[in-house]
Amino acid sequence: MKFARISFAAISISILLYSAAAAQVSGCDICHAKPDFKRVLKSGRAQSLHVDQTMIDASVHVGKQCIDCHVDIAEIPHTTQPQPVNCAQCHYEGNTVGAPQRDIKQEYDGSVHSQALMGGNTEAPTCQECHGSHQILSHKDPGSRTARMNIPRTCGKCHLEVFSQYQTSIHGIVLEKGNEDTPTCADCHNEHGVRSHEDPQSPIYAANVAQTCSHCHAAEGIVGKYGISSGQVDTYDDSFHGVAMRFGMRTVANCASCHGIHDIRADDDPASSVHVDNIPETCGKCHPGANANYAIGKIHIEAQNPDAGIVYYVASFFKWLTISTVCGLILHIVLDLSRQIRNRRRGTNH
Amino acid sequence: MKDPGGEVLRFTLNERLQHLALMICVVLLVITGLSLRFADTWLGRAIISLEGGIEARGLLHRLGAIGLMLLSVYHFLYVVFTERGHDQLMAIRPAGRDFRDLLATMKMNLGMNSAAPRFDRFDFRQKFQYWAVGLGIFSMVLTGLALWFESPSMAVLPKWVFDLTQVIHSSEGLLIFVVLFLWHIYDAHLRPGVFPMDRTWLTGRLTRQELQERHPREYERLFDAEEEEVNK
Repeated sequence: MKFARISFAAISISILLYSAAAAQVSGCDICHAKPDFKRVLKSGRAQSLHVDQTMIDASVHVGKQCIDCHVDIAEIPHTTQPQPVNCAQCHYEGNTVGAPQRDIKQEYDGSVHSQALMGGNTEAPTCQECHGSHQILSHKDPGSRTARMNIPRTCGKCHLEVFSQYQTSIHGIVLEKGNEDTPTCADCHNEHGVRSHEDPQSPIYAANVAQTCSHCHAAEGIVGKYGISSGQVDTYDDSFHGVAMRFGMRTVANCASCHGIHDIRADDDPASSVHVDNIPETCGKCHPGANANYAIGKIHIEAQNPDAGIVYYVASFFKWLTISTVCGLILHIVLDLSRQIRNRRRGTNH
Repeated sequence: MKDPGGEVLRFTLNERLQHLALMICVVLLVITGLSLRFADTWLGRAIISLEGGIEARGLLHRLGAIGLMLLSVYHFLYVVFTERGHDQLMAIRPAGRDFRDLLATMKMNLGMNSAAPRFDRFDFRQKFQYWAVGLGIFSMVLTGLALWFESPSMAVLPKWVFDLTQVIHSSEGLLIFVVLFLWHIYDAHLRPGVFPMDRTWLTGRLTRQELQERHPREYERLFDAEEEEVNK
């Protein structure tokens, strides 16, 4: 009994001491403030373990202690390598420590990045790959890796080929000029919920592409500024491609089938897939034997719009022909009926 | 063609079957076609899903088109190479008196003239309907084939002509539906005297009295000679 009491006291005291120590871990700077503090990786490369306090002070996490994020460090010097920081310990909806109230982890969990990570790909990005670690800045800060202007570069660290394509596209070129209206990676692919183009929930799934492009290309306030028609998505929806796509056919063209994906260019650019000289090749991807005839006439037309030229006039002709036929036939029925009623009263059969 | 039972055979079984086939094809084409034209309305969507989706809809539409094209070829051969068919074709060909009959009917309907025009085997409305159907089928088949084989036809036609093809096919389909619905349904079903249905399309027959009322000139040709013979 006595033995039990003593051991209970010993356990209690050690727990108390342990938690006091954990709460009080400080002095990380003894080592980590040294600019030349580093370790040698298995590959032979040296990894700097220096943490610049001014960097943290300038970041959104100013005022946080090291162990607020590195929760597995209970004593210093630590004998084990710290585990990767789990940002979701604060960044969830309903948290009480003042982190943004958004369940970003859940969005990330459905992404291709998370799937790759779960599949064992150690290169797959977690939060830190895009946001950084000790120097995380708000996306509103122009110096942030997630600032609008820097997103392509951030994604491009891994997606190098796509990044270089994007840079030559009309979207990339105007971004480089400082235009904030132009889409970056996240506008089409989502920020945290980056999904495969084969995932029906993805904004770049074939059936969702027109909707995704419409965020800007159907918004007069955005594309109107640059003299680009905001009716292109409507005309697509109206076309056979658009109707068939809405009803579940996946072999018909969406915006990207003709305009390209990361290499979208203006139609007057000779390298554009929709440049008049390249139309035969572009349409020929689906329509065997496509030739220059495919480019004679406007592509995006709406029969109800005078911009469609002769197509509009013929459609209007049929509209009025149909309306007047309906009126004429109704008149005919009324006249024929009234004559028959007159005749019946007179008692004849004609 | 006279019939001993006091009735007159206006349409042979062959002709009635042609009409039945035409009706089946056109109803199928109109339903599958207009559901695509109005694909953005709830009714269009409901009908497309009844048809088994957008691809099944297209398949049904093309099946109807194949039926209609085969029927058209058969009908052409029938009116050109059979004696009976050719006789019918001659009877339905447009003539100057059709225009005068039209004017007379309009006057009568407006109460300006009470004398009803005296029609032959086919009255001007029947002739107009026949030729309108013929012209309609011709242009719908032509534009429909261009849309069916879109890749080769776009290689031959400029883009804007192809767009026109689509507009014409779709708009004309609606026009045909309107005419069929308001005119032919009224004529063959709702008109006083024939309601609920003119049964000639099934029996092929009119009574002597009906023939005398509706097609007096045909009646006279058939029966006056007979009566003269009897009177001799």
